[in-house]
Amino acid sequence: MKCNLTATSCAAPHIEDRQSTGLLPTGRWLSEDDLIRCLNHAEVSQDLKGLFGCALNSDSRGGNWWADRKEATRSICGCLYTNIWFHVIEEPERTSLRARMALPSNERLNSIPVVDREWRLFLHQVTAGIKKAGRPYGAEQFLNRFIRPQLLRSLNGFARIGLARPEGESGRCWLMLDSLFPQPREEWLDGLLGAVVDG
Amino acid sequence: MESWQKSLELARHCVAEEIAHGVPLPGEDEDLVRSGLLDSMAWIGILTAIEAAAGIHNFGNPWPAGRPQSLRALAELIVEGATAPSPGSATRADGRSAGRGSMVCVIGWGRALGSRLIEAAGIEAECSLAPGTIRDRAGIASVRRAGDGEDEVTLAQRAAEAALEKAGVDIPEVDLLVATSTTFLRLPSLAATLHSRLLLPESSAAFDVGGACVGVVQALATAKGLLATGSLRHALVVAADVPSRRLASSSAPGEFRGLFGDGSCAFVLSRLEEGQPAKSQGPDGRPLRGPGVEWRLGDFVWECAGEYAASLKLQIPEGAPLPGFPPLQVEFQGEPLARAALRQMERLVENLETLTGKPRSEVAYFALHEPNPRVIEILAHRFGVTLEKATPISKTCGNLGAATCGVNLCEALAKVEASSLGSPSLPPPIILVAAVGPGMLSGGTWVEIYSRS
Repeated sequence: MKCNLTATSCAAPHIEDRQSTGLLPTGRWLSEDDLIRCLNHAEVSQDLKGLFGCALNSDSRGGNWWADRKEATRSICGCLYTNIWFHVIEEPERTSLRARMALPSNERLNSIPVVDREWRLFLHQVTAGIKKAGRPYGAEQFLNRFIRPQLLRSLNGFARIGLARPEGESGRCWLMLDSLFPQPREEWLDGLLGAVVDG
Repeated sequence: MESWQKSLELARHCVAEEIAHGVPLPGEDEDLVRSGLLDSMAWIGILTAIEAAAGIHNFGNPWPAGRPQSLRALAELIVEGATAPSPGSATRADGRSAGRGSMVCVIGWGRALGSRLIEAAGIEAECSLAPGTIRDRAGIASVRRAGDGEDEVTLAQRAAEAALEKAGVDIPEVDLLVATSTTFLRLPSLAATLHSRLLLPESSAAFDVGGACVGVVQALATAKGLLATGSLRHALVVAADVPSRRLASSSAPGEFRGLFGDGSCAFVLSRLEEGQPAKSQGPDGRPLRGPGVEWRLGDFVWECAGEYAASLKLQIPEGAPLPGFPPLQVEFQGEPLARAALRQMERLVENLETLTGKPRSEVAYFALHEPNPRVIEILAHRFGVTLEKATPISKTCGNLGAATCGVNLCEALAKVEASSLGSPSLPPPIILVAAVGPGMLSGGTWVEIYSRS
């Protein structure tokens, strides 16, 4: 499928935004390998400053980064990562996923919210699966001990980092993990829910 | 009777370590201090050595009034101490005192080798050496070298991840990282770089120690000391070297360059309280990892034989650019170095025998630094043990620099776990660790099974 995109009014740094008016069949299939190859031809950075063409800021130790809307020159960028660690935040009304990532420059992104749709769905599957199976561990342990090694072993380790819309008057654009590759796979759940305890 | 003889033997050994070379051992009843044979510091050294070897807490303190400071009195006190329970101590499976309160154990380990395997013939050609120089003279069949995209950091990361997984310790639980490398000459240092790469918590400490080939022993000692202070729980010790690149553009002779391979090792140390499991547990109290073994990390012995300091020198020329790969100036005297290494290793093992109270014949494995396999063959012969007990990794991987001794320790630990040696029905096995490095620095320790889960 292909998105039917049209220009839309947008303000810097969200200059890449387009409006989708629907999906069109293309008859072609794009593998994850191909997709990452294409994304590597788009905006890619090895370090924090190169992500959005400006210095990034953080308000707290270990907290997420933000870019000033007046300084950022774009709102999306790809990067390789050399390590990742998941944090699952369980609240009464929802469960959310955050990540820490190390970039090739050895700088790190802290507590970046994972907004990737596939990963959020996967998290729900993991949470539900653990609950149903009555496993004595949490989604965070499962993700870090079994899914994280899959990511680190993969040759498709790639992430797309985006900037959220400016936050009120402050003009802060918080970083988000828009896409995380490899994308989660159903088979990662098969038989793994029992493996943590069974060794 | 047997107990008395063993005690007297231990006392003699410890006294012999302190008196001047060439001076004969005194009679059993001669007062060692009053006769002027020893000064008070040497006497304290003897008491400390016996305390560690016999596991008798606070041995000889205070010294019983009226008793001479003699070999006989030392042996008598050892016998008395061995039969009397020490306050606050627990008894381990092997019957020796486990000490009071807490101890530091190795609960996870991992290693990573360069992905490229180069046969000896390839090394000999590359270093313009006569055929057989590496294979036959040094005994190296092949070396492992870092491939594209591999360096000290990536190798260290792989080893650290494996060690953490084995330990069942998650990254946020690591309180301390101690790194060592001979070849990583950049800033930020290896510890700082690894801290970021491993995504350790901001509150986790990270620093480097030196020592070159003895670096991993120094790193273990540093981590153990800091864990023992009580505020930290888990420490990660990492050694990583990539000599192939560092020496490639150096002035090092081929006979030296050709010995090295690239690799890393990592250990998770944990401070355990009596009866407390080391491994992470789920809400139901069950360990989150499979069954494993905790290895108590022993005391350390050190020496520095400065007379051999000129045998090996590596230095960056004055004014060379940093960072990057400036060519190293290397001074290498093979024969004296090998002789010195052998002598130092033998002394280390003798000292470790004294400390552990176990003769080398009872040691399950020796995890040694290996300048090359021939040195290990000679050592094994002198020790009177089979070569298999020395787990010579350098035969197939080359001398891995700071990581050699640690990689050997990983191999030995894995072998014990995979064999019946780790069976609860047998006496707990012990592994001696010894390394020598430029200086000539040497250091050693041991690990022995504390518990099996």
